[in-house]
Amino acid sequence: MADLEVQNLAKSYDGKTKVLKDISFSVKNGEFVSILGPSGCGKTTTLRIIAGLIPETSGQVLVDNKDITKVPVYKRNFGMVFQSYALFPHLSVFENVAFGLKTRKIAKSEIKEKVAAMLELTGLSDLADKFPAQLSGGQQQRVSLARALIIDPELLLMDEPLSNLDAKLRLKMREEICRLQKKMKMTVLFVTHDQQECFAISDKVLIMKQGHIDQFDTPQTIFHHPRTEYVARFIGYDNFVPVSPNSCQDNYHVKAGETVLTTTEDCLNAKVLTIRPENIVLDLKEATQNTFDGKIINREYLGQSFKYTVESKLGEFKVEEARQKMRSSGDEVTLTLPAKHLHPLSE
Amino acid sequence: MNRKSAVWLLVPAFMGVLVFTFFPLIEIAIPTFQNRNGFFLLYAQFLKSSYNWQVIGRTFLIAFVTVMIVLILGLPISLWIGRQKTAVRQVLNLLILFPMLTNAVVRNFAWIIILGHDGIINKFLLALHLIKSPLDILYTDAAIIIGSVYLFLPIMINSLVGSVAELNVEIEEAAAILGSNPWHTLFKVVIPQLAPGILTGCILVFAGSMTAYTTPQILGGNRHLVLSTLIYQQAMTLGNWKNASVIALILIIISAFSMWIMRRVSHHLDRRPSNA
Repeated sequence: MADLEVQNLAKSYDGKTKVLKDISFSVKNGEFVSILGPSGCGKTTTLRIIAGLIPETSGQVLVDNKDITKVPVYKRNFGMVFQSYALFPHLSVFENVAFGLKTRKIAKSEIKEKVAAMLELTGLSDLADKFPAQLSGGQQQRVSLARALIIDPELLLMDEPLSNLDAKLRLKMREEICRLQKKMKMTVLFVTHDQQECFAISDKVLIMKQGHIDQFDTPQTIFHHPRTEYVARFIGYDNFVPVSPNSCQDNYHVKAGETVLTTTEDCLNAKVLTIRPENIVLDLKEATQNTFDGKIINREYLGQSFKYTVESKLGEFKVEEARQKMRSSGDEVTLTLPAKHLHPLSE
Repeated sequence: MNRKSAVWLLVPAFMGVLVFTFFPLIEIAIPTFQNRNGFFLLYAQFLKSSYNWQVIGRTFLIAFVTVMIVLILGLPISLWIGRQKTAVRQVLNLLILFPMLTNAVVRNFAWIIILGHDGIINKFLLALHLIKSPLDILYTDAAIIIGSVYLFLPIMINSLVGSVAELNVEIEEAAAILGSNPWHTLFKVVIPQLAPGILTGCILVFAGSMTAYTTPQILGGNRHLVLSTLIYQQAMTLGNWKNASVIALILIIISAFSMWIMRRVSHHLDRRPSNA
């Protein structure tokens, strides 16, 4: 396994519109990094350029500080797991897993040994003689993973590997991938559009928007300190309060309409403030700041909690309340936005 | 309508096949065995002649070489056409099939003009001073093969394009990432997946080429007989219908045996259970 560095990567298919604009990031040896974004944001393109499947328009890909940008795909030592699994339909499970070893001209006896060990590790030993068409989705996924791992790749690339599985199996495979990654100390680049999935398994998350990187941080940092409104929306910040431009009074007080809101983070360049629905408090008696009246206009039952839509002079707010005492539409409430949960965003 | 009564809908087609295919075959077969001096006498007589073996050999060789050339030419073309957008693919398919709309006799006369002593090829080679006197291409086995390749190439391409279009490109990408260079991918990943299409194409071309009459008749002349032209000669020129029937049955047996061999080879390439 190795370090990966991507420098100023750009891609245009037609010479006019840029699918990727100046992407730069690095992945350290043994790190699990996810690329997160909606479809069409360029995450798969990035992965495919790194794999060598499509040529870049400009920029470099470095592995252990060696420029591999011009190395053809079959001479790079990477593993890849595809969304469609892309197993060889004419080969048995054993032969599918052995494929990468055969192209490397490894002795037959060694191939046999290695494949058997890998099938054991991935729990496929009983299926060695089956063909892909005879396997379930989860089993195919496992074969695809085993096939990629057996060549001891410098980097494991995964393109939405879980999105074709049902919810229960997805969780199970997710854990399994995590377990294998830790056990084999793999460097992984994982593409997904599922925020929960990628936060659960990644050391770092790279959030992409229309061909550029919006934020590249640990899941915890992204969760608590989203850098842009786009990122915040992607990870479940439902409430956005636009603030008056240049209304910041002393870096910690900002005006939204006529209301002065207090933050604990520097809000000098803030365009909008954001807060998660579960951080808003209703009817807090000792509230002294960031508090105003509202009226409930809608209610959803989420099992663990209720989610209310509250109308106020600062617009509509989504509020999640774990208390099991149900409020009803039309109820008058006081909203309190705790300063430490109120994040100023400049973009 | 339930499944059971739906079976009755097959009866007319089944009767058609029975009446128009199997009865005539049996009609042809029975007289060839009716001999006082032995059941297989006519067959033994036919197979004793070295000339007949020459004709069998030529028929087989022409069909085999035709299949090989058609496959080698058809595969790259199909790989290219099959990867085009649907609309482009449809236009190309139509163009490929276009020669089949011309009459077989006309098509073969065109080859006479091209291959003859005063034909385009000889004139061209003479003009370039590559040869001193015209080559004998027309009325040789080579001429029959050229004509057959031209005739059957569209059939091969047509049966391959569909299989190519269904290939999942990600499978080839997966092979590349696993260290397979483009040639290795072609032979170990693409062609095995196309095996069913290749098999269909080869069987169609082989059977067609084995039994073709017009092309060997016009381009092979009288000295280069194949089984089908030999049948015609026996039946129409010599009036020996029994012998013609013997040859016809031998032709069927050779064709069937060859197809069985092709099937074995195809299964060796693609061992998927669905293809069993």
